[in-house]
Amino acid sequence: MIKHYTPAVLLGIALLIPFAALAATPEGEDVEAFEEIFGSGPQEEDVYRSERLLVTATGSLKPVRLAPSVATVITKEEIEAIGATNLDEILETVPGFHVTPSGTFFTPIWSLRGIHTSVNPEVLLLINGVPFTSNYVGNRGFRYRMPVSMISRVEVVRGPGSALHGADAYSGVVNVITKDNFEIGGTETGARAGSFDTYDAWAQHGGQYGGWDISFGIEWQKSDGDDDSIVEKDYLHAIGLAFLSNAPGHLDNSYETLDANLQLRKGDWDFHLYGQLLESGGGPGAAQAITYGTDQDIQSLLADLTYSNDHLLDDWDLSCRLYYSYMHTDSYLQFFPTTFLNMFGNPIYTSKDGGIEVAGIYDGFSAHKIRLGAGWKSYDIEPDEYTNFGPAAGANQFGPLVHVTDSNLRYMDDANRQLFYGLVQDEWNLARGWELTAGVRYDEYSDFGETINPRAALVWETRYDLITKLLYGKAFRAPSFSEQYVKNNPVGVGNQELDPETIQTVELAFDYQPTADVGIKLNLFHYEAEDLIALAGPTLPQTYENFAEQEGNGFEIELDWQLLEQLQIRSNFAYQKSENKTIDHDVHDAPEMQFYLNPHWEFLPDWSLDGQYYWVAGRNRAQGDPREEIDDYHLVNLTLRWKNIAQYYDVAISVRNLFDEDVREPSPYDATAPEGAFIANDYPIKSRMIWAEIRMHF
Amino acid sequence: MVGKKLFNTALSFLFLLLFLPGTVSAGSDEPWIAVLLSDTEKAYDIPVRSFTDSVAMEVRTFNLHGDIRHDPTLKSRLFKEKPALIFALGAKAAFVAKLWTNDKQDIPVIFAMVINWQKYNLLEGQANMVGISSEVNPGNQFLNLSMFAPQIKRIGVIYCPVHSAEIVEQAKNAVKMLGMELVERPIQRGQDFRRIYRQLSTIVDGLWILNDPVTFTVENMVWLEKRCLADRLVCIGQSKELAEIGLMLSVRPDVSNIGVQAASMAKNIVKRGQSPVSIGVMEPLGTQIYVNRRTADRIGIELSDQTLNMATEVIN
Repeated sequence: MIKHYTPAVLLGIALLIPFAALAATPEGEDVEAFEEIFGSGPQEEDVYRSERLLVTATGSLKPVRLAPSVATVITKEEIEAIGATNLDEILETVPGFHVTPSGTFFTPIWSLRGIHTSVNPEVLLLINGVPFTSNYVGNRGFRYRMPVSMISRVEVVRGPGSALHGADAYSGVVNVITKDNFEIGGTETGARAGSFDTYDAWAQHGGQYGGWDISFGIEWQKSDGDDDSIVEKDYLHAIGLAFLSNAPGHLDNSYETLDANLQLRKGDWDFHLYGQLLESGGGPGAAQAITYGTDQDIQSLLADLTYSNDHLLDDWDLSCRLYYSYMHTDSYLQFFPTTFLNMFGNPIYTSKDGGIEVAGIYDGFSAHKIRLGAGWKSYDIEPDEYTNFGPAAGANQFGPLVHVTDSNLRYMDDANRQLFYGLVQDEWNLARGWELTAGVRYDEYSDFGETINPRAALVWETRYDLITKLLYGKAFRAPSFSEQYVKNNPVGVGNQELDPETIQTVELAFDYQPTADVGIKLNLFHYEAEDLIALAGPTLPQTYENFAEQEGNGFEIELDWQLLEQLQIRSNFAYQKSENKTIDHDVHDAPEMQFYLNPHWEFLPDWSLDGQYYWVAGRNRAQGDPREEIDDYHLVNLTLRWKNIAQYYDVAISVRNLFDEDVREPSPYDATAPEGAFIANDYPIKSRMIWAEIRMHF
Repeated sequence: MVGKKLFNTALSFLFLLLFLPGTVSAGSDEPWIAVLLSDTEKAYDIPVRSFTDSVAMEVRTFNLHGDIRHDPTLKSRLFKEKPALIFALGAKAAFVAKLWTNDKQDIPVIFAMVINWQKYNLLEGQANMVGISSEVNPGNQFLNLSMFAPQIKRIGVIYCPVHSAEIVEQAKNAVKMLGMELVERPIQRGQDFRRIYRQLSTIVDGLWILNDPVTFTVENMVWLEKRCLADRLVCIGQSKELAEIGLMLSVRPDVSNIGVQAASMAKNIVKRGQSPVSIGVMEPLGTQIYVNRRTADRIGIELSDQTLNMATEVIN
């Protein structure tokens, strides 16, 4: 038993030894003289420090190493270097983060530290600090993908964030900060073309006009998907009708998106507008049967207007934000090949959320920075439906689509909820090198009631080259409208008695810089999640219940090493072990181990070669799933870039999945499938892909 | 089980990290020089490298890691064999070198990269201390500013008197000679920087950024970059990083020259017997000028090819 604690004891000794050494030093006068000069307050030498800043952890800019959270910031320069073309590719580089396609139309699951669910509402996406969420399922919407040309930086906070951000900041928060006019500073255009008929074109402009700061960007992406992503068997094979199946056949991974960003800023006013039109194929389809007629058509809009004032009152930084999000999702579902059954559904919903938030930061006390905030938010959903089967289709089953006008027959009724909240947070400089960030947020929902989520974070500058953080936080995920209200569904129905999912997390983090060229981070975490929502019950349709409890432990190690002046190595290793306590089984599909290696070599002026190596391992099957273990995989990407050609042009070429590995992501377990899943051999992801890019900036 | 093992391994790994031993090379009878660093900041790399390359004597490096208490054995290790000279980089290193040679003034000390070196009374009671100032004198900075942006007449500066009173006083005299005016605003807390900037930005057409630890925080500088662009204000700072994040102009000592200059001083003292007292604190030999051309374009400053040719580096 004791030997289990040996490392912890050694760690404690290591941290205490500097104090013991102080007592033993014979140079007391020297120490006293040194302390008198350097003992408190800022030091001249601080100006030599190079820092990376983070806003998501506390709501204000703060150096990452001192932020009261475990966080990663990825800048636009790094995004460009690794050749990422969408947000998912950026997030895959974050320790403990894995992006994998779900069984629901291949909507990306942002799997983080073992929190891994099929629709994945547990990671909150913010765009410029404002939530971008579909209130139907609580995630970013079906098959959401964000292009990168307008991204200035991505901040990823692992761990709970509800004390500041409220609902859904559960396993982590991803905050995408878009470029402003100064970062664009003129006009940039670019185009990219690659395998699978993949095309990308963008244009952006930033400048000052009549006292207004204006930035605007638009990007179009299209791909036909990889025809070599072959699924060998599907649902129809499982029921003995292989001859009617499209399998072996490729998954429909096609997509087309048009994204637009606008920012207007004048004086104390700041306005953001983000919109997206998305059309995408259905991946494994609505019934795990390969079809080519399923289509998601989504229109999204996110707008916010912020007034900030740090000059009205001494020591106060005040702000007020109005925001509105709109997401219209039109899902045209072909369940099976028409040779088998002409079964179509067309569920539609419009999600409309809006609210107001007021905040004040008071820094009039010498050792405190106090944030106060309050807000109101309204959530609305308006469902609609067309179908050609079930009671709404009447006698003409599997005929033309009919509009479901009788709300008793529709998949869901209109729904609304209201939220009021208030929060307080103090960043307290306890003593030299010690900062305590403590905060609590109270949320009162009109449907499921109140929830209180505190946090406390102690950040200690243990030594000049070592930061130690001890973090605690509680977070919640609000039940989505589908979990509360969905009906007339043969598989699952909603439950208006649901409570929010909760999680409590403790983290111990170290940020160590042994030399000027090497940075090492170690993060240890333990979490306990309760009231996890899942479909439960002995017969179909099952009901959404606060069904499960989950516990997890793990760690992440990060290395940032400037090996040579031209060669930088970034690497991380993440391990997690999470268990569903209710069913006494390891969490399925989430990787227990991940390794990432990213050498970046600037071998000539304006030339760079960037490599990415991923190893994803230890993904468990669900309880009862008879299939063999999911294969681990290795993946290599390479990107070669030449910048500032004739001053205005950049070109790049990138190879993704260089060795054309047959990489598989887990398909969902189904107890009724003879082999454990209707697509038993898991989902193949893209084979080798090459793209070329040109940019012009002027 | 595997998880617990890995967890334990990680903790053990951390334990080892905390005790990574310092390295000291074996002794010899040849004179050797101790380089004493305040900490592990990258800023010291180039001067240490150029010093080592130029000094033609054995160099051993010691690191305070930011705190005199960090390694209680550091002093005994440094003086185990008497160094011929100590080259101290950073304020803490310089101050500690002064403390440790107070009763060993036959060991000369050269300090460099000490911002506001006067604040530490490094020469007081010491006959062995010499140095290289880490600031380009204000006159030189404003001269450069007047060449790159001749229309600038009123320059604002926000500073903390505890740290920067002396350099601001020097600057007042310098601007007079160039026909400019310095508008100064003292503050005591970093939080006041933004508020004071807003007052100042309406009455000046340029801002001088000091290496003042109260005003010069990363948060303030990142904020300032945006504000200066929005207000079309020319900013002049004293580090390459400031030009890189978007301020228009930075003038700083040539850091590779600092190492070469210190090596030359060391050779004169150790090999030719020059008295430290006769050297005192020297101006840095070279300056480096960093110009952010994109920022200049955005705030409407036209830069001729002739002026751009004066820059060490033009950031596009």
